[in-house]
Amino acid sequence: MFRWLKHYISVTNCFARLAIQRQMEYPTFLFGWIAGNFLQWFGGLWLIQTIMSRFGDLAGWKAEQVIFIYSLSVISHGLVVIFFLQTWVIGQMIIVGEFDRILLRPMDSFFLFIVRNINFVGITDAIPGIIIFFHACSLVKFHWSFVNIVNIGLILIGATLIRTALYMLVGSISFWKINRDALSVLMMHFQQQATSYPISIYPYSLQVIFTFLIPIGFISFYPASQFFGIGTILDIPFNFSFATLFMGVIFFFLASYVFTTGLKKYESVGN
Amino acid sequence: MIVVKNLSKEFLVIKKSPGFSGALKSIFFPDKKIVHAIDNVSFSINRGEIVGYIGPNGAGKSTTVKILCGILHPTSGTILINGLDPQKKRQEIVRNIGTVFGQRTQLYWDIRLGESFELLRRIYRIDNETYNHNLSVMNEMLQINELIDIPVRQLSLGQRMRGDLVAAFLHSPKIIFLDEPTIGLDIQGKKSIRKFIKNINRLNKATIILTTHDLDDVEELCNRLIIINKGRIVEDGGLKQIINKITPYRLLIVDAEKIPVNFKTENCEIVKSELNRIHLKFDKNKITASQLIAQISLQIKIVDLSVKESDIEDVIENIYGQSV
Repeated sequence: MFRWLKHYISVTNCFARLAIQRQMEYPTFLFGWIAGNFLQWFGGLWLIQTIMSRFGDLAGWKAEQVIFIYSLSVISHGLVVIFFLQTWVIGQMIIVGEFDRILLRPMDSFFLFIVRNINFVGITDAIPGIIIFFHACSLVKFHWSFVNIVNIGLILIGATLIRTALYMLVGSISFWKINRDALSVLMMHFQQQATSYPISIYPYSLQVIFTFLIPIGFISFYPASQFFGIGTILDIPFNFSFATLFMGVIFFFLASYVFTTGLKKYESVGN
Repeated sequence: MIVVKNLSKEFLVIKKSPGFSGALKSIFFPDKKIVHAIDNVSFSINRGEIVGYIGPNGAGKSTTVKILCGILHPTSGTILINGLDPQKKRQEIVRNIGTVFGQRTQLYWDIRLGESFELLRRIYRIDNETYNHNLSVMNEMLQINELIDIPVRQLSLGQRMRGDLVAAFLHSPKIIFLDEPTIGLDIQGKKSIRKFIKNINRLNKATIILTTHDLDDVEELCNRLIIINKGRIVEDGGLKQIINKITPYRLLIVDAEKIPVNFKTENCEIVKSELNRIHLKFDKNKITASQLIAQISLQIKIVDLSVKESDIEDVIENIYGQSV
């Protein structure tokens, strides 16, 4: 067991190092992403501020609280881009035969799929998110207690897992019906739009869907609602950071199950 | 040791009609068709053999290779590799398998070649001693040390292929699948790679399965051929044996002072007839060259002549020709 763990950790480290080295080869590529992502995320911030200054509040949420939601959304998006970007391109990987290579290695294929690409450039998404987060924290006078810091950590892990799981579920469709990841692009836009604002602006039925079926409510909305003591349709007695982590783990396992089932289907059918 | 029994693989393909209306039609009323990529194939390969697995494009070669590696599952039939079923024990099987897909590299494009080797060292858990030994052995044959610090994207095709070969052999695999390892290389490159394959087979007692369209590869490397066409094995045997069976012909080219217009002779076929040169194809089991020459010299005055043996190219032409 220990040997097994050591083996998998050593391979993970090597993949990470190679991924970083690969991207360092092209500095202009990095600068392009820095410029693009900073513009996009700070632009989003500016948009929220402009809209909120017109309307005062949004379904009972103040501007700085919406910015807080937005920052959680951007950071977790950044974490997905760093660690799980490959879940967006499953269809493409099938078309070019990337899974053949994965299946030729004497290791777990799901593990190889997850660790084979660490997209270091994703920090250009995460950093603006973190800056906006600190900005929001000072606006809402966030209480920096130990418990709250741990909560934020758990929320971000859970949120990243929820997002990744949704990409994986949508991407795994390619194993049955070959497509060019069009749904993944849709999923990206959807996640970005729906997690930047309180989901309480949507009709009740959609809120239920965003809570249980496509649980994006847990990415930013529910945790923030607990910090600010704002009521939602889901008033559970325990800590929302655990709820987010719980949903993340459950959905990630579900998605990995669908993925491996899809990969088995790929093995039996080919592409 | 590879044992394949009654292996079949069917694919479901959707036939597309031409044009936009065809594309639209195939969305709503897909015209599904079952294709037998591999049809009841059986063979066994012993340790240390170099086997040429050849056939025209779409014959089912790479499908077979993928099934043997455990990547694809067969529709029916059984496979045992060293006593194990690759579909059930994929991880154990692939630990002892090396692959080179000539058209696609397994090396990391953007970084120095050595980094790709380092990753493989960790994936296959190669201990330092074996790793260094294998690298130095292969360095002697392929001069890999001079390439190790160069990013793969800057390597020429031949250099990259050397890198790919080393990558495939680093973990001392017992079975190696080489899919067109000499594709696109110049004569020198082809020669050095063939030499490497021969040597490594001798050194490691590795079983090598080679798919290629380059018949010089086949002639130089393989002591056994499995020829596949339309998913079925057409021939399986030694190179000479197959040539004898499929094309037991020789070609006699005769230069003469003048060849009569109505020239005719027995036991052979006139392939080509020019003003003072004639090409005759004859079955070497029915008549010897000297008998034929004696027979001809009664009719024409021979100036010069040469005999050409049929080779693997003729065999392939003969077999592929039947499928057209």
